[in-house]
Amino acid sequence: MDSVLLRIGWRNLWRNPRRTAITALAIAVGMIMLAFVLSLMAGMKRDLINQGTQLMLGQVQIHKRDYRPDRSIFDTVPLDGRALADQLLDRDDIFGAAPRVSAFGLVSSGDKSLGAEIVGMDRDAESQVTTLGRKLEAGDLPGRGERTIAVGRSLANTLGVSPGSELILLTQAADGSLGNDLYTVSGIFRTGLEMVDGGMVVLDLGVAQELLALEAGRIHEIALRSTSPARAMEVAAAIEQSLGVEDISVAPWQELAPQLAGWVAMSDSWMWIMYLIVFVLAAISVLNTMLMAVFERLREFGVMAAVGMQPRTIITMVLAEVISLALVSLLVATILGAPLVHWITNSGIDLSATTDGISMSGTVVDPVIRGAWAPAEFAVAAGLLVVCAALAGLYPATRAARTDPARLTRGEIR
Amino acid sequence: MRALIGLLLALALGAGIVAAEPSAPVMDDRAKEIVDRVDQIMRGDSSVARLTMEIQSKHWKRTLEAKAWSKGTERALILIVKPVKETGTATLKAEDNIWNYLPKVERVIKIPSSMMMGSWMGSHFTNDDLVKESRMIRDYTITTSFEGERDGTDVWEFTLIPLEDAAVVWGKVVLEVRQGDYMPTWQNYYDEDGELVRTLRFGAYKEMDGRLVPTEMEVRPVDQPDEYTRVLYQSLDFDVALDDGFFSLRNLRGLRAD
Repeated sequence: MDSVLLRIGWRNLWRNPRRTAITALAIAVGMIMLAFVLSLMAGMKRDLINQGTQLMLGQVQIHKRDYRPDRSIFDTVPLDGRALADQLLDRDDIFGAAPRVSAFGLVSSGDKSLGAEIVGMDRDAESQVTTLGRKLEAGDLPGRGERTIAVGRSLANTLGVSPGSELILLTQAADGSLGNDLYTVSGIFRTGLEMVDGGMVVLDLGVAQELLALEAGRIHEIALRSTSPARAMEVAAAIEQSLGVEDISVAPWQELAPQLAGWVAMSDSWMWIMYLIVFVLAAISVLNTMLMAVFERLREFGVMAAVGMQPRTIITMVLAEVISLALVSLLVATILGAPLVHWITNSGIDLSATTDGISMSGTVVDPVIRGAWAPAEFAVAAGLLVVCAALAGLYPATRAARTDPARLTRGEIR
Repeated sequence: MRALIGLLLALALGAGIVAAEPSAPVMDDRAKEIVDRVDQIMRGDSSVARLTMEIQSKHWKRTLEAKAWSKGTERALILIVKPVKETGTATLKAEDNIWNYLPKVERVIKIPSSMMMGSWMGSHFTNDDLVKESRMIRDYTITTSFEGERDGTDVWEFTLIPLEDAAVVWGKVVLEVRQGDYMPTWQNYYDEDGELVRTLRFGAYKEMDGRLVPTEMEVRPVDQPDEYTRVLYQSLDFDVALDDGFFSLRNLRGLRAD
């Protein structure tokens, strides 16, 4: 395509500015619709995975192979767990490693008591992996070596405790003895998950190990944060291979929370259906506008053919026009769409007026729906619409180019 | 001839129908009496016992020394004497409730109903066992499922099916009692699907405070054949004067073995 044709194509656009404006706007609106939907899709998927993994799960977890699902207190990771967590932090793909112990026990205050999961965690390490430390309504998680305890909101309500109250824990320790001790409530967390808020208490890792009669190196779990949840599978496989210990299992979140992975897969597929519907709508509007715009000019093409323009040249000229038009549309779409996508990714759609958070298969769903930037998907969507526009324009142009110019100029072909 | 065969057939079928008619669980009064008597031998109106408990689990083995007091079916108190780390830990049972006193934190904890199936002091007995131990007659329909000689001894075997409204975790309990001296020999616990879940063996029959009693009890979970809890009685005194106030939360604190 030579530059003369490109220039002609560009000039042709402005010969009928109103027609061009309408067509460009139709294509731009299609692009914006697709970008909006794509941004929402990417954002919802990101939020679903983040909310599912950030609270307690982490992206990857390390256990003794038989630990799940029975979670026996004796099945500790067969290496020095704290040293292993430190050592994993040296890897480029690991940003946080949180060692934990966990056991079931009785939490008691006054004459009220109930069963709960006792989790021992290192507050500093945990803050690099999960967001539990940011879910505190009052106080804080127990710091290193502190003989304090953090409890969930509903458990605190049931037992009638607040920060400063004393709680007794009673559990079966690893040496067979009755582990029991008294702790001061340091903080109250609220995650929105009843399982956590009503059934979990948090101790400092070392303090929990003392209660459970476990030596400092014996831990049940290391939760890891990697570069992104999407890479969890390969990171898990790489760590398992590098450790090379048969009895240690390294599992990505998809394996640890299959219901979450299922949700992600399901929302993925229905989002693609929604995307397809929006795409077809956008494509039809672009096709329609473009067809009209080119059919309107059949007589013009007839004149060109009559003065000796080759059919191929006519087609090339129309293509040049379409490309120019696409560039204009893209500009319009960017100018109009960028603020919209910016708004959906930053502010989002706030549904908190209708609900104060829903929990769905073990994850809390944020009442604010936010989008995400997905440049590659945006480009593909825009490209596909340009192709649609080109096809819609080329079809009448090709017909015009191949028909007898005399009939065209007489307006016999419509 | 054909008529005769027809008649015989009809009779046979009739008899079959009568025999196949499901026998409603009729309370076997004699069985009930015997089970009650066995229970009574073991408990007396009140009792004081010195015992050791050997617990063998897959991961550890430990021995507890304890002193236990009981009155009637509804009150009992158990005080851990050894190991030293747990000296003073005590359990009070009063009717359906269980409290543990923890000397380390100087607090009493009531065991919630959701934890009743949890292990008592790490043993293979549950908190529920302490509550339900002497409720056999009240909670079960008792029938004699075997009567006669086994291994040279005349025994009865009783099958206990829980009453519909009884809060019982077992689907069935079967126990064997020696006819000669009313000594229990074993007791098997089945779940609701009829699977054997755990076994209890009695042994070392000795006279204590004028009564013949089994001084050894061993419970084994069926799914962990290497694990067991063995209770050995060093002494048993019956019909000791204990007032109800003895079995109180106040008395649970600072209780002494002597």
